[in-house]
Amino acid sequence: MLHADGSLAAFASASDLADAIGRKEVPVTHTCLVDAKIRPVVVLQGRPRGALADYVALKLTRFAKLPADRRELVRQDVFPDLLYLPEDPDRYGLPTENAIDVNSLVRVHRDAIIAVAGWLDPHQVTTLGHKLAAALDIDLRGPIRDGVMAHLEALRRDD
Amino acid sequence: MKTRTVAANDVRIPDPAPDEVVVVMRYGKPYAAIIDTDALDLFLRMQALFGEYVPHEMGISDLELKIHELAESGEDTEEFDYATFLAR
Repeated sequence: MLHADGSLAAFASASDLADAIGRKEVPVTHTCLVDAKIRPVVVLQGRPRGALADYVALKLTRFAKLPADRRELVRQDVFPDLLYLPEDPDRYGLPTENAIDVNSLVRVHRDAIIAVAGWLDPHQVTTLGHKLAAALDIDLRGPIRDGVMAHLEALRRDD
Repeated sequence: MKTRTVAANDVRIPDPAPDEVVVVMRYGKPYAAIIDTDALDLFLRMQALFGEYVPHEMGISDLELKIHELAESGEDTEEFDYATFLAR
């Protein structure tokens, strides 16, 4: 954390920082220094109106540090919380294979986005949406049931 | 879930170790699982707590957690090559 006089103070956790604020050693409004790194993310929605400045995104990892047998399992794309992206620089804009981690939801301001490197196809987007709903414990049974009932009712009316 | 007990003398199973699940495979698919008594106690308490609704987090595998750890830490992400990116 950066003090007004330019000196630095380090805190191991947010709780430690909160304690320091409580002791009035640190002002409530302060400046934090954090590590940063440019990295790829999967942006989950468009903002065509530009009315909202933030995007929801998911992080990717190369999973190159996993043992070979574990990497092979990821490539089979059978895990509910992962979506495998094979090596395809033209399509994804990434030089190697990657896995999207559904549990790594982040919010990214548009000013932090440098460029669009690639695209997911509609099927991948739908799959990712289903995985995300499950990971967020969103119960879709009600909307699905309502949709089926509406569809059946429309069929009945057409008969 | 009903509990059916069998005498240890009637079956041959590997010794269950703490923090470990022994998965018995048959025809390449999981057939049964052996857990130690602490894990069974935890399972029964979770079941009583959550009932039919089980939070998604309960089912996340070790591999998915490892991938998550890598994604969160950023230690296994693409190094961004800005010059190459601009040249595309």
